[in-house]
Amino acid sequence: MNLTWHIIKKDLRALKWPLLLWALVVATKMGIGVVLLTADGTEGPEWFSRLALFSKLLAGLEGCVFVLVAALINEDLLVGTTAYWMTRPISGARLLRAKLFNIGLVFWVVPVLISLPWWQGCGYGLREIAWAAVELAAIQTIFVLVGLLWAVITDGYARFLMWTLVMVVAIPSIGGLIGMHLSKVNAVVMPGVATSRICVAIALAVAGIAAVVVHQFLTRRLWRSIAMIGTTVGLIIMTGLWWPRDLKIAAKWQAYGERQAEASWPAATAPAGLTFALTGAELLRPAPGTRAGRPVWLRANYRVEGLPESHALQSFVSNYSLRWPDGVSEAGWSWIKPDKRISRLVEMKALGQSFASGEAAAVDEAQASQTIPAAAAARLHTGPVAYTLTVRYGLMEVESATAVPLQAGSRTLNGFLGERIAHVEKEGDQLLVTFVRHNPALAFDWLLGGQNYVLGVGQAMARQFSQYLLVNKARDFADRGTTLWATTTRIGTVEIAWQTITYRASKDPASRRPSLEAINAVSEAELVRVTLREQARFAHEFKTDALSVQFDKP
Amino acid sequence: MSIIETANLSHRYWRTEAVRDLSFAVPTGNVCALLGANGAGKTTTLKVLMNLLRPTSGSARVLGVDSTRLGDREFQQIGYVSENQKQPLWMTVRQLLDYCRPFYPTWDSALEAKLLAQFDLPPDRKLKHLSRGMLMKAALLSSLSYRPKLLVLDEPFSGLDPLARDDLVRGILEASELGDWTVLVSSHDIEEVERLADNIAMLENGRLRFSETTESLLGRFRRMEVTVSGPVQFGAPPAGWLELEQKGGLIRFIATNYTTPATERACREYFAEGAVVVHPMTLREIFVTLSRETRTQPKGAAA
Repeated sequence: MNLTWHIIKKDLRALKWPLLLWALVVATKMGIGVVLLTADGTEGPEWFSRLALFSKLLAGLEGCVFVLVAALINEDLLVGTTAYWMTRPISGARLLRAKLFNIGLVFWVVPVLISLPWWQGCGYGLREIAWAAVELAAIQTIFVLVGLLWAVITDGYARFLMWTLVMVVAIPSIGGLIGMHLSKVNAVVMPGVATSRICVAIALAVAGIAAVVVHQFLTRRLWRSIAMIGTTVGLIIMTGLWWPRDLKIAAKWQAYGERQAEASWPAATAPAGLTFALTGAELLRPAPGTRAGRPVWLRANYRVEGLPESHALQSFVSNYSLRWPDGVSEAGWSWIKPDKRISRLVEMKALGQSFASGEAAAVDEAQASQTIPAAAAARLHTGPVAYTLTVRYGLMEVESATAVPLQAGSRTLNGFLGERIAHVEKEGDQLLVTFVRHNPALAFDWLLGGQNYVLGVGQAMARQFSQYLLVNKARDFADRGTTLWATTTRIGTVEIAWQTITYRASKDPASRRPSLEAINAVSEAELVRVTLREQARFAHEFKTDALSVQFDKP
Repeated sequence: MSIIETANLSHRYWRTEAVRDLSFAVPTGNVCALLGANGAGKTTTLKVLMNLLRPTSGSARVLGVDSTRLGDREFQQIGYVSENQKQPLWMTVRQLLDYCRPFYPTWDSALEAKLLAQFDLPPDRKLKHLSRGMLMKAALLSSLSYRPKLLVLDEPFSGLDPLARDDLVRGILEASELGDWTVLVSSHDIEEVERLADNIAMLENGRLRFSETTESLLGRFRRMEVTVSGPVQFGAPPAGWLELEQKGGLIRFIATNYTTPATERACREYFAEGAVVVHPMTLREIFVTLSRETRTQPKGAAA
């Protein structure tokens, strides 16, 4: 290990300036995140967009990992007969160990360490940090693997870059040729099989690269390594064209996400007095010009009755399944469009009205939307289908309404959800409030079907949230505001959103010249933060053996 | 006992056979020079011996181990310096030595200090800022300081000025006197080789022309001058006479198997009468003679 460590130190010394520069790029990106979170809000959307673009450029520069890997390998070339280490008592295995250690240290550990203060500052707990670190490492690994492959079979940067160029051209070309071939022979590839082909191809590529790298370090037999690459490419092409089996990978992903959701929403019974009912479903007509075979939206309507007077339901991760009598089934995520009840309760609380007035009905009506494959949509016409919808709920109590000073404030951190009023400005009959918010946004969530925090990060979501309204009690008027502009960016797995909301304090129609009354109304109004707190958390399974579907809804 | 042995060693680059059926041995403790014109196969041979290339056929053994299986243990006893080797140019001389030192259990710091002073190398200068001669000396220093049993030098004098060559040769000579070291040096810089080598092996078009001690080689080559009174009708010259020519009354040729009584007897038989003068030859002259002869022969006949 001492000699391996000796090589590690040598490589770090040799590449200290490029590596420091790269670390600086990573740190600068985080620095931009801090600037975006702490700016005073007067800078405007262009400024935000410019900085967001700059952070994306820096994120792109992180792709220089690819070249840095080549630099690390080129320190001790594996191709040719001129590298001085080849006639020293340094075995290929030891060199490989040293290089892998450095890759792990420089491209995984260092970026995670640099990101750590950023994640902690954004309220990440251990679980979120672990997932963010895994995601960061996974993205780095893509660059590292590709860089490693070309670096071990080339004898310098010129050839390294040339082969990179070949790869950049070859991969889309091969993918395109496979696609063309499949469409030419009218091959019908089921989505599950297509996903399996992609996953098997990726696994083959990773295994092939690992084998080539190890082989080249241990034997330095270039042509055999190139033959191994050729074999791998051949296997990948054959997989793309002919892999027959559905490995149920998408279903396994789905099941994993569901297990995570179940862990955070144990099958607790709903609070007493609540009744749940599915009221029907609609299959939406595809938009004009939509290609045949595209997935179709299925919308299920449901209602929940018996809610306590100051309470509303907030839905989180939801999923559905369809099952036909012949055993064919379909499953996936659902998106819930909530009822207006929660908004009404918030308005009432802001205005100081009593919930006992009965203005807000104790009924929650919502819609669960899901995309289903065209083939499944066609099957809906053929006969009854069993439908299950699992919705995870938070029973939220509208807890408090607090007046907020009309000025920029400090950030409130609620778990990993941060919020700050960055700027407040009166403009005629309007109050402009700029909010800066942040929350975790993992690419893994996206991979798992677009559900935020599916990997369990969100399940631990803070059990409270707030809404802001401009309230003029004298006029019995509360405005939820209209978004003037909003923009988001993602830095180091944290999504930062800037949003300017324009509030009015009277029912006067917006006109070119604001009325004196409307201007006065704004002066009399106060910005109120209404806080909702979770009182119970439960999952409910809506189930029917024969879903009643209305077809061709616009 | 031989520290290097090859048996029918061949190496082929695509269609070009760089080394063909090479069988030779380097005795332990000797300084052996591998001579040959450009493209003769010297560098390829050394690269095969150092496991930088694999033999296409045949085999080579170095320190008793098959060349394709040379590992850490063997390389701890081998020093290799080549004009083509890419050194870590970002390092200073001291950093190079510091980097190499831990890999060699036999590293002799006193010898390192002595050679550093002798080679007059600036320890804190980066290798990329060294002259070519100094770079070679730095490479040699990093390969001598652990007292290797076998030192392999591939064209170490190429492109060096006379002073740098002299420093290098003296360094190698002194090093070889420090212990029972074996040196295998490939070069076409004949003067330096002549000062160094106990044994000479000559390669031609990838084949071994001869391998013998320097003393024996210098002993068997003579430039002969015969003064005759009249024209001489040449018949087929005896075997081993090269470059036979006549200018007026002076006949010159080179005897490649010279022994005093036998060569003089052959002269008397061939020229009948005439005064014979015998001149010793330098290694350079021998090399040029043999190379010229190879060039005039049809391909493959040199063997």
